[in-house]
Amino acid sequence: QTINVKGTVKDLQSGQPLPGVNVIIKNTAKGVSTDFDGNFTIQDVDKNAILVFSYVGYKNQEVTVLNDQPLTINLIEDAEALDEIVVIGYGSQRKELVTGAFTSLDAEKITESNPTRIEEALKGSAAGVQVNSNSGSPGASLNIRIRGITTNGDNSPLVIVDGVNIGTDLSIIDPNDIQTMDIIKDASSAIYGVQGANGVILITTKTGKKGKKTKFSYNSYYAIQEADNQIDLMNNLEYAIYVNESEAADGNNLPFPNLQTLNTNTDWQDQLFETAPMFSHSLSAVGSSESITYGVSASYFGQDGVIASDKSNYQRWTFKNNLGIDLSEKFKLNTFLLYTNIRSQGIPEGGRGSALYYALNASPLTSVYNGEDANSISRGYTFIGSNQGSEIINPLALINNTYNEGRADRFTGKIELEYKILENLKATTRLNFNYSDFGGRSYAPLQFYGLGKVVNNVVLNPSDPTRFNTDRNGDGVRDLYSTVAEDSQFSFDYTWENFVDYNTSFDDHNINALLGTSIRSERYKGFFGSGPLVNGPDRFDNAFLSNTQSIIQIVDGELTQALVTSTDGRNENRWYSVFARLQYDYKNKYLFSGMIRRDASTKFGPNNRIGNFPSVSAGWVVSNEGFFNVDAINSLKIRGSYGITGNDKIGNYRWLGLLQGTNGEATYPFNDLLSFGNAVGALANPDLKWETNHQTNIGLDVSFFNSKLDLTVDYYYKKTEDLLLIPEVSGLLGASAGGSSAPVVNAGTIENKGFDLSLNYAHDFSDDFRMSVGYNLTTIKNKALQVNNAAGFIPGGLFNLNQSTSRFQTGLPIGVFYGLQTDGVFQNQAEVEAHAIQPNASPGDLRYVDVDGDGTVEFGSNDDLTVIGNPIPDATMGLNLNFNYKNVDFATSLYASIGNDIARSYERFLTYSNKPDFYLNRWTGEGTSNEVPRASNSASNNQLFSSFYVEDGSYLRIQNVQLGYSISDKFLERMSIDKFRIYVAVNNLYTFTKYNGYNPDVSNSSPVGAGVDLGQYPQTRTFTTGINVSF
Amino acid sequence: YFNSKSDYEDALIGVYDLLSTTYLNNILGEIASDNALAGGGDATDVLDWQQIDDMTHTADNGALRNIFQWMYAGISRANYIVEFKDKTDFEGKDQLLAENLFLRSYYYFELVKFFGDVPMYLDGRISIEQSQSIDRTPKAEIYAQLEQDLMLAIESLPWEQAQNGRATKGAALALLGKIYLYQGDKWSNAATTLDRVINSGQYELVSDFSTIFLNSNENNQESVFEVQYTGVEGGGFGCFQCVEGNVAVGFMGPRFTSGNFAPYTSGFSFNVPVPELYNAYSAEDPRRDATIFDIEAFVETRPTVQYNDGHEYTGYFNKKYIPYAEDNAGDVNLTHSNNYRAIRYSDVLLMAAEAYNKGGIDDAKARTYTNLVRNRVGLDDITSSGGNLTQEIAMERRLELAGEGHRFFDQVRTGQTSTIPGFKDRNVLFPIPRIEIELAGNRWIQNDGY
Repeated sequence: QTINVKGTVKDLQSGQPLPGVNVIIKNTAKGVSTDFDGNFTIQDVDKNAILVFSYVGYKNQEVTVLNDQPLTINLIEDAEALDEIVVIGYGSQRKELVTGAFTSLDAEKITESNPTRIEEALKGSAAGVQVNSNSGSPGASLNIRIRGITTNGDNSPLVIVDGVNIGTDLSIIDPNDIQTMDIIKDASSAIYGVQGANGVILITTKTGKKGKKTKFSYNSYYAIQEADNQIDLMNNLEYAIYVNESEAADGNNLPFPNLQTLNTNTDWQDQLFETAPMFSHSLSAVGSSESITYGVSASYFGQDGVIASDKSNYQRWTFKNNLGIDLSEKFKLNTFLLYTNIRSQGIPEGGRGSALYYALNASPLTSVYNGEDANSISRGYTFIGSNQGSEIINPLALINNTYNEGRADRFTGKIELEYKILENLKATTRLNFNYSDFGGRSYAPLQFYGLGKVVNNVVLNPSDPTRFNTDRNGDGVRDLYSTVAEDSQFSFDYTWENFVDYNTSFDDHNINALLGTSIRSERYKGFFGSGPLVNGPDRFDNAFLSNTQSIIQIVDGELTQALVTSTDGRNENRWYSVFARLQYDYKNKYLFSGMIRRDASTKFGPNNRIGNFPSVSAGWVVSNEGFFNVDAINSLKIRGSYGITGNDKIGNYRWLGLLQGTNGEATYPFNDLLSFGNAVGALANPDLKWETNHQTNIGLDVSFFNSKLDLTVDYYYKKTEDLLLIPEVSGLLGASAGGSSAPVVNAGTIENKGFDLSLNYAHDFSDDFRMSVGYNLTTIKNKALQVNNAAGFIPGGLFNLNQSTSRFQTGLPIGVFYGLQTDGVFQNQAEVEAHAIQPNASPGDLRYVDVDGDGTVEFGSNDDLTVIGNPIPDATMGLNLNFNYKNVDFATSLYASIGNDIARSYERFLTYSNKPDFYLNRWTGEGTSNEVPRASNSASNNQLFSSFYVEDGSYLRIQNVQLGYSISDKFLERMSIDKFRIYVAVNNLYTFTKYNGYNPDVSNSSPVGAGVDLGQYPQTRTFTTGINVSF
Repeated sequence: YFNSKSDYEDALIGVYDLLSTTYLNNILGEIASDNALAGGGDATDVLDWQQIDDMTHTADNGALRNIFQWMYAGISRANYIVEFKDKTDFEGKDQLLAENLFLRSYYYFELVKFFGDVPMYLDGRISIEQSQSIDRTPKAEIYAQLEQDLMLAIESLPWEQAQNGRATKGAALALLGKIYLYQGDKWSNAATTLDRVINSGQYELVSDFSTIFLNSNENNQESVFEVQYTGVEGGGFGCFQCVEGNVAVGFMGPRFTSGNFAPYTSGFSFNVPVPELYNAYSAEDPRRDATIFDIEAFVETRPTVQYNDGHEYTGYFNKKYIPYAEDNAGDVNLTHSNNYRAIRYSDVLLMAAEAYNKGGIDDAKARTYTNLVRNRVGLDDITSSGGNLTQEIAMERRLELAGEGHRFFDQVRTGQTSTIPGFKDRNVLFPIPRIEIELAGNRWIQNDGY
């Protein structure tokens, strides 16, 4: 007997009908889909047959047919099922079948600590991923390193947002827009070939799901930021005593004979730092109709700097829409569009020439203001004495004279058409693009910071030193003006990708195959101009190129000129690729995946343009075996992968020899007029080829106690060969001429190995009390196996004015600190004499180890230099804790970095420079100190880069503490609100470290020179209040 | 490239460009000698220079490497033109190629002065592989090549050039004469070559010695070859070879801190003359006060002026290249516009005098030339001959040319090095930079004693 079954399928929670639900009669091929109203009808069903209702994102439901009464089926959303999908590049895969090393983060994790950029969300939350900040200033970028430093060049991973390669600027997206982030850490990134060597971050943005009603969310916070730390410096009295002691030691008179009369006590850091606000608003709507899904959002983010908030700030607006349209049963159109607008202002930061560097070295006896008015040559700021260094100026005066603005308008998007050729064969074509129009404007007024200061751009009028000398040739006509610089740049890239995806199953064999091509082009063009601001008022709001004018005056045969100059730059790079992937599993037990990508890149010449990047991986789901029967373990998978990825991130056209052009450095002043010639630029290497990264990964995924406890452990070994680097070359090549440089060559091998581990525990103790704990650990051992430079190393980093700190050297981790090794302070003359000959040494000076054992410590020679530190941490780890009790939630995250060293490089070694307060513990006589040398400036061998300047930078940071309260459901139901949560949070609450500088999280985008603290802008501590609403 | 006359002209400007970097050669020629101390802010302020002053420099000295790299950068650019010298013909090509050969000879001669035997390559640019297969060429062979190149250049160069700073016939002759002189056994070649400069009538001594080095007196009638600098561009500490100003000037001069010290500006107190040099001048010799700036005497006339001593303070500064407050808006330290008077007519006269005397050719002519130099500053004629005359010419050279970067090399080539503090036998040459030996394939043997 058969019956006709009718019914409606609904979402249990919302009661909304669900269209497109598969309804199949169990153990047959017969089935239908629900219509737009969730209705279905199946003819001729056997009585007692079982109907299976399945729908993506919902748990399957089975119903036995008893009679012809209409059925109402309420499907239950399966939150876990959604989590279990991993985006793997040109497709996705169920997590249990993944054989590569992936880490996934969901929306909740990402936005938990109110990150201002997506990089911040990754810090401490993903095993194998290290994030370091370059600066705490508004809008500052961060460095992401996936499993160590694999190249001496650009280590940043590839970031794909909804299929679109968004390039290097990750600030363009609002973290609130992100649904998931999936990070490919191993050679599974070979599907991205040339771009995959540094790992891949795949981002999926939020969009609607079929059959779900529209959901609005509004998230907002307001935060107050403050500098999290100040460097302890000497105060006026300590400073004066130190200076007196130095001068006395150097045989000079005491500059401050009467210490009782010191009045001024300027704390320059206090003068700079202030509290500053930060705002974020983000509004989104995700939803669907019968044939459309969408996710639309808008956000604003504004941040002021904790130094000079009126001149250092960052604002970002984003508008995003994902739109998926079912054009027909077979055709589907997906579009993604993101518009980002950024406005920013900045002050000089990051070492020499920055306001902070000045603040750290200026004397506390110098007042900030001198009482003069803003129209005076000093503009009211006290000059810093030239005995404090010709490059040290009043930091507030610097800020006062700093005027700039930057802007960027950017569109990122895709248009994608999917065609279901057969039920299991799908073809996709998509066009991705990024269009960016950016530029800036700056204005340098005439500025004078005291005699002989290097940053002065004007001298005083010889006949009236209260005025600037703006008539340099004395002909009575003004010829010196403030300077304006403007630039306008644009970049456009597009990627056109076509791929087909086929999957089939037979007899427990499941196969998924992918075949595709990709064409990518990146174009850039920029225009730069500058000139003297001759017309109109001498102000920033008038400072435009249109108001500039060239000045050329010849008086008595001497030429005076200030020219409006312009230049431009352009380049284009293209890539052609084909790729294929095969995934296979047998009974979900034995897993295999193989892929290959073949790339051609115009970064290389015809000799070596094409590269092949294969990878294979396999897995064994032990827990799916019949013999596996361990109660505590509900899933166990062993994985392994090996593959090769490539890297072509070098400058443009380096395989070709280019001339510098007339804007280069082939210039010579005949008749006092610059003649612009031409010369060879960067030298060519037509045989340049790919940098290749060979990576092996062995991993284990275990899930215990009904998935309450999940453990993932991976061991990785990465070896990067044929590193693209610019080596030191023989001077005979002439590459040290201005505007030239050595060729890029393939010369070097680096290895990285280590473990990454993540452990997650979640348990609902009761309906009221839930907790989860996440811990992750990453260890890295980095070593340069080969640096094919004749000298065996490449130097980098900066200490004092011109000493280098770091080396990329064979046999050592990349970027190790390399300098003199101290073994204490000479306590008395006898010790000096007993020691190897150390020129000019006196008691109280640093004792250096005679490394080469030749009986003499040679300064200015490499012989007595050795490894004195490593900026790469041995291990980093993150710990995340979440508690929910009734309506209250509490979360905290900790981050630790262990074993990284930092080179302290923000001191200016002059008698009159201020010093960090650990110099209070200096050697002042036998037995007083065996660490800190005596006060004396003539003992300047103490100022050579040595282990005295290298500190342990290990730290533990409380990244985030958050307490939230959600208003009870009952109340909300009446208001039709799903969620209403308010919270308070503190980011960067406290850092436990022995490091003396601002921030042990010192970074530098260049691997050789990383960990050198030039007085980096400190991190900010923020106090946040915010709300999350969805309805 | 090299398809038109302007391509060649532009490339030649690139060769001239490296002359700007010789500021370093010149300041080291003083600091290394007995004329001056390194000075600066403290004992490690520009450690490379301090060590050269004390003769404790090692093969890792960065300044020496810069000289090595920059001179070869000039040579490499010159060889680029040589590589394509036959590609395109145009009017004036012979002269252009002659200027190019002059410049290449100038750079090679600097290298030989500092390092002795250096690898010589002549025909075009080289690859990394080639750079590791060139041996050090014996000094004599390099000199022979330079003589040949300069003689070729002399034929095509004019006595006068439209633009100041371009190589002239006189400049090439003077350089050739100097190269003969440095070889120590070609006195008659030196004498006849330098005589062609003297007899050309192109040059005469500036009557007021104190004006020779003023900015307003650049490219004067006494200037045989002059390295051109300008203050218009500004510069940075990151790329000294990119600077179009005279970097050495900003490093010299007192560390003024306040008061009215016009027309000077504050410097970094490097290259400070020693009292022994000051005292070597007779009180009536106007060259003393034109060569050495006595800060204490200056402050007596300007009581408002204050200054910091700096390291190795002697009270004296190099006045020939003292920093002036001037039109150097880009930055006031690195881009002083004062040209470097590389070859002055008085230098030519004294070189010729030395050749006539040492070669035993004509002491009378040697005296005549020396006296021209002495009479200009109001000093009596000298009358000695033979070895005494040799001594007097050498002394005259020191006094006339102090502060101009010649002293150390004059001392070395004449063996009068005993007055240089710390000088040891090995210091007749500077060490080849160790890293350059390694980068060139480890095939060169280091100079003795390093």
